[in-house]
Amino acid sequence: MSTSSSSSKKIVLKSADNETFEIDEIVALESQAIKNMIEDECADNVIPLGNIDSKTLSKIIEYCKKHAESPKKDDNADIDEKAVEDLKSFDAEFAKVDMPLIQDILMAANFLNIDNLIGLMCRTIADRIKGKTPEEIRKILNINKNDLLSPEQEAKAREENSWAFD
Amino acid sequence: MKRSIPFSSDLIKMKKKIREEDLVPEELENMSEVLSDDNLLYEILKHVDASTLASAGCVNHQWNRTAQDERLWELICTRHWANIGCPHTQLRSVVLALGGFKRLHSQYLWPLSKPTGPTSSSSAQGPSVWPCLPPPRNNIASAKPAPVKKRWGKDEVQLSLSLLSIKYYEKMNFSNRK
Repeated sequence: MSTSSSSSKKIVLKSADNETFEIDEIVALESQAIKNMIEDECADNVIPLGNIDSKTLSKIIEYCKKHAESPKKDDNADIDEKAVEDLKSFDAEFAKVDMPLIQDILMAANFLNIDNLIGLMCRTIADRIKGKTPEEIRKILNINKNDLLSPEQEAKAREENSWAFD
Repeated sequence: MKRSIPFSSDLIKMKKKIREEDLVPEELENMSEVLSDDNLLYEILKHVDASTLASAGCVNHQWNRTAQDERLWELICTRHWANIGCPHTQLRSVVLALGGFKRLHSQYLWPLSKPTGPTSSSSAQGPSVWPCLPPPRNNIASAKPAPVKKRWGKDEVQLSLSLLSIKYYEKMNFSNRK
């Protein structure tokens, strides 16, 4: 599947379930965390990512590849609009996954410090809870019930925002 | 349940089973762990509208805390504001001093954008928030709800700010008299 020239430097990422992914350095640099590691020269040949499983990691690599290939805004001011549109529709397609995976990707993107991807996942979650009741939000995001408000506290919170619950 | 000493192989199976059972709640916790990061939750709530933010405040303690954040309500308020020719930082300090964006939104801006007009919803705070305004369109077009206003004009923003400050001074007087 790899099509890049042999001259480009490779980085190997290892997922929590011990699957390895060899990617071009330029793709890995989409992650600020990995970029820092490389710049500080504390990245070995293989970077272990003990808290990211292979399913999540492969999605993240898919995202980074696409974004590394596309022209960056700060590279030159007049990048063609087609590329921007293309990236937009890629992002929209990319976000069409189920909620557990979205949350996994968000957590991993946060760990790897990939700003664009954090933004995309946050917007996606926001879209999915838009206009929902508190119960529906808990259900959609599978929020555990340890931290629930007491009935009095919830009544108070609803009272404060009574305008929204009419 | 009677306990018998299990064979060693059973013991291993049991241990394995226990471990597997342990995994399930752990996994569930992992899922909400994402959102237990206050910063991420804040980032998410930056993108929702006012009524979703209000709803989010009832999800649990952590969401309740995060959804109180004045910066989020500031975004909600200013997202639709026309430019009233005054720098944002200045506006922010004024609004925060007078009671905050959350209050500004729920008491003055929301009634403006609410399709059904100011009704009984905020009876707690006395007479209608907009006593001076005639109740025009709502009666006429009550059959079909008016579309939610997308943008607040200069006059509306200034009026709501004035009302916020009037309310603030009223309260001050009131507590003095007490």
